Amino acid sequence: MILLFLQELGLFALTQLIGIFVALKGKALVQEQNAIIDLTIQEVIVFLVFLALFIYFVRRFSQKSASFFRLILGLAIFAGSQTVLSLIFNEATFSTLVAVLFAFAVLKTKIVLIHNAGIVLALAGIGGFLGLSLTPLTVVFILLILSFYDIIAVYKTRHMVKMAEDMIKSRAIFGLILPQKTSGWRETLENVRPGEGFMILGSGDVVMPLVLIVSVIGIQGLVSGLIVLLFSLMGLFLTYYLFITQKIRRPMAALPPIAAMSIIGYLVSIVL
Amino acid sequence: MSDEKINQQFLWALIILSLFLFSGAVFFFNKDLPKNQGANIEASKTQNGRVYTIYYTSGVFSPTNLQINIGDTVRFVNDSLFSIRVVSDPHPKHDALPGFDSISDVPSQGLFSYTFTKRGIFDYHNERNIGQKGTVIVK
Repeated sequence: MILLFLQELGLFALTQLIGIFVALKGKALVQEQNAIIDLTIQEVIVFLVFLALFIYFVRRFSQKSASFFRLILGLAIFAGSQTVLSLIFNEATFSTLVAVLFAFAVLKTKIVLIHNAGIVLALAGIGGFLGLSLTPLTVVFILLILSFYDIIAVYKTRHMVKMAEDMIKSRAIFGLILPQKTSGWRETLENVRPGEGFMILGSGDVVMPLVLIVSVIGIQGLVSGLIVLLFSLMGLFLTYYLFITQKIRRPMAALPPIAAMSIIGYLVSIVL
Repeated sequence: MSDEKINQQFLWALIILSLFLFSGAVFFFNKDLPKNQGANIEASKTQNGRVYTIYYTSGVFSPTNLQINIGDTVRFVNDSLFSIRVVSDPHPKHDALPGFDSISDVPSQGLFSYTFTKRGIFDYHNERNIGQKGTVIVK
């Protein structure tokens, strides 16, 4: 089980570090363009309502949504990897071409290792830029709302669990796949079943702490962001502890512990 | 009820309590700040803070000393013919006010804006000519 946690920790930390790289490089671009940043609370609420409606319709038409899930996943991988690559190579055409090929490779090969690489780049790229566009206060508000939504959706209505099952069936898994054995990295997605040698960490559980870290870096600097990162890693450990100490292994809401620790980290960074 | 179940319930209760308490604390500590505390915010987006402009002409920031309130935004407009880079003191660390850095050059007629979210006296300078200085006092 320790291997499972080390893999979880490694992929989570890697996503955050690449996201921080995106933020540090992207910050210069945002400032050069003097872009308008930050959303108001009202805009965030509209976004969350839109997200809830989206989830409702996806659930309603889940039989026909397999290709749709895969399309969205492919677009997310393309957008994220293109962002990261363009910041590394400073070359838009080359980065776009590689990102398109990479997104196709992820969707076509359906191997755990390549899938995880795609998710890491997707979340780092998207989360990095999203964090630059929001203030920490707004992100804390979103984290609070999403944490309670996560609890209700996993334990009360259970629609999050059903949606995850639909996504696994359609082989469009919006999350990191963590195999219990190292051989699991070479498995195809057809053989991935949560609880049967694999664990899935949802993309929201990885990207939301990154958004907070980056928004803190944008306002308070890198050191404060690293403090939040450290606390989010503690939150990840708490999630893992709660998962392994369950009497019966069931899907659990991972965001609340990670969000709680990340928010504590933000408070510590303010005080320091 | 088993010990594991009690332990789980206790931890979940603690997590939910922490979410409420610490989010509340974040909102409390931020009550003095405007909603828009980002580094680059246009005047139209600023609800509570005012927007001030400092012009850089002939090697001088004008006004050289500017007093503002917390949450106000300062626009540094480069009215000279040459590029400048506005950074926080002290040189070369520039760490008196983390995040206060135009990072790249501000070209002629370009601008760099920054929202001050901390109280204090902040000295800054043009990194292209460190003798060209100014001060922003945030009340």
